[in-house]
Amino acid sequence: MLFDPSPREAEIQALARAAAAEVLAPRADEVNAGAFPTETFKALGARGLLGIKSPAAFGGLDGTDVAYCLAIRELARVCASTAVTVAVTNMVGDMIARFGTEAQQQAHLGKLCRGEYTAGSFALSEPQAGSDAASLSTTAVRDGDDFVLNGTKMWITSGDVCGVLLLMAKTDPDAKHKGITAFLVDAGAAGLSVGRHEDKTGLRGSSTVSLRLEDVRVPASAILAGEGRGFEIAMTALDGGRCGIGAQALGMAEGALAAATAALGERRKHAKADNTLQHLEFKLADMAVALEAGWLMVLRAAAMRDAGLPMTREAAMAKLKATEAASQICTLAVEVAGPAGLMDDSAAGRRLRDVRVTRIYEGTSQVQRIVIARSLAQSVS
Amino acid sequence: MDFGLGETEAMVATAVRELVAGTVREAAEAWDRDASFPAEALQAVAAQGLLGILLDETAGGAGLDAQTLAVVAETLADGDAGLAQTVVEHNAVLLALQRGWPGDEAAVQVADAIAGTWPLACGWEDGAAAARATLLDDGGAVLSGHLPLVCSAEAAVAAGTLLVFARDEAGAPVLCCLNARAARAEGLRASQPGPLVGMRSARFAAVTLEGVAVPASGVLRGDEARSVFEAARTVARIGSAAVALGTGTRALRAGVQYAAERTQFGKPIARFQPIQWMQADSATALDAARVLSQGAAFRYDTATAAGRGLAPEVHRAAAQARLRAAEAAQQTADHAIQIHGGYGYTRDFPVERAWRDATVAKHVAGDPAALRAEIAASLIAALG
Repeated sequence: MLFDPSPREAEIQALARAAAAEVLAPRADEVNAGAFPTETFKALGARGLLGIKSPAAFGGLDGTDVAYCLAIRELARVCASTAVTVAVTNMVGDMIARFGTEAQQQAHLGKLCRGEYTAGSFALSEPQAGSDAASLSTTAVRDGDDFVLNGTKMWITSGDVCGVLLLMAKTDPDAKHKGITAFLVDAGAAGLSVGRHEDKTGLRGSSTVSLRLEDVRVPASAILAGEGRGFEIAMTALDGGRCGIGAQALGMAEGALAAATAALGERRKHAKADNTLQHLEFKLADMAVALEAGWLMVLRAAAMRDAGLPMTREAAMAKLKATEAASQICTLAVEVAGPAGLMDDSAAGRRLRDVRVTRIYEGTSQVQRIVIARSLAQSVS
Repeated sequence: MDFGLGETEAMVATAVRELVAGTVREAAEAWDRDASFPAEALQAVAAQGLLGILLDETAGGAGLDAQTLAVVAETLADGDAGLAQTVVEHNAVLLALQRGWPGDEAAVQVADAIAGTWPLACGWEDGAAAARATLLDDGGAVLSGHLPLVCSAEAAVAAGTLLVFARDEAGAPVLCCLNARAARAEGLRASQPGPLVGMRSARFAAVTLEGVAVPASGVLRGDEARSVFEAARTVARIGSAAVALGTGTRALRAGVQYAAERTQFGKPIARFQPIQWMQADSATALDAARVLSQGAAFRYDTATAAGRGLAPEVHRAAAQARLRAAEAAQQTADHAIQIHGGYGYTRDFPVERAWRDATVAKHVAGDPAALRAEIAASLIAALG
């Protein structure tokens, strides 16, 4: 059991590494300062990286979940902001590929995968429905052959730059999660407006907005998989998404560990006594162990998903471990970097700010623990 | 041992609390956004007589103690950590000026400094890696080196006094007072390519020294240099610990308030055990660190009041307090962000700034590695 990727997975990883170096790296500083890199997504789309798991017929790479995690990690190592936009776009494409009708796939998948849409958005959270995702209040009311959507969405990645939204709304307000339906909503739909842009601690090169839906009319054919299946779709998306966020966090941590190792090597050249840096070396060792543990858990969860096995618990465990470890690593890396690492736009300072949100989005660490604890309880009952 | 505030401390705390509620809290967001130095606020602190807290009244100071400085710093940091840190470092450097250079010329500087005309600054690093001094026959010195994290560096270099602790060729301590107003110090430069992640109003920057000439009147050597510097650094650490605690308290309060208001799964999230535990752990960590800090301040004050020199245990206590307080603040702020969820990751909520401030608090007046090294060295030295 060697945990090595298959030749095709390694190929996709290499593709992502090349894209990170050639497309992301030249613009990383500008993007981290807050510029949204629209052209980057055209270039990533041309390389298939916006549809890693989607069929090649639509411009995707026909890859596995393992390949997807390998790719996200490569991108996040260079630009975490771009990586999260890529991750969400892939997640939306994956859901359309899994649950979409032929017509829905024809309408959206090619444009998503090839970058014509720039990005895809996953619109679940609301001002009053964060961790408690089932408590959403956006409604979708049937009107003839259409549905009319009203409500507010919050923290929507790429909500202002995407071509299509996978949007959850209540078609039956009295039923809890079983009353939630997933809709594919065109970004240009009448009545859909972009609210505020969030001024975030980090990931400043990804766009996070609120959205208002005022009598947004969509045809019933925009429903993904059928009425009342929205929560199931959201949770399926998050099973894969959580592996991706784990990989994203570890990509940042990998960058932090490499930078810290290099900085320590530099300091060692100037250190007089051999033992003056040993505590930092020990910390580097701990960082490497945590990174490895997180990574193996992400890979296992992704491999289980590829095998079609239930992996909700494993995905939650992987995201929890990977993001907590990555946060610790990025915090330690600031310590190793010294005062230069405290600069807001230094690589170490940026990673510290960027990585913080990975313990919050796509389910906080507390939500992952709820998922794990419930799963444990079920396994003994 | 009385852990409550004395009458004077309580009065000072009330005055500072009013200042924070009146102007600081409201302005802090803009100071953070623009990374601007709050000159007016520093003047307001000066008007309360709080820039010379530890100085004798005969020298124009408030004649108070380190415990009062800690109360002032924690209360100010509850509004803005950068301003609080600036006030702490100013007080610590001023103490060194008065102790090290008690002559008439220095007295003029002290009066200006107490009035908050400009901020005082110091690089708190020790060792040849920071600053080196070449001693001259006339008693003067030439300084070279790099001080990576100096509070109010640009303002202090441009207009005021910078205190530099250096080592000579033999490794002996040298403390230099660079009074840029008296004689323009050539080769002295503050550089900041951009603001820090937090405590932005403190305007931390690096200071580079390239052959900076210091006249004999500005140079202390040997044990005197070491003792003046270490006393000031210990005061800076007691104050910095308090700044961290104020920052942590700000984060804790924001988290508690938010958890009481935010409803998920049909009830306020404050009623969920994991949220409660985070808050309990945060409050416990902050209180434990506060007791350490109070203990360090108490030891400093007791030794100073008795006219004794500061024993190594006093310095060690201050280093421990600074280490633990900043860790507690960071843990608390991290928990508070987590309690806020996505809202905590946006600049709209005060907890976000507290988290960034706490990150910097771990590195002021000694980074965690330097503090641990000093604490360990002090333990070994105590064996005899």
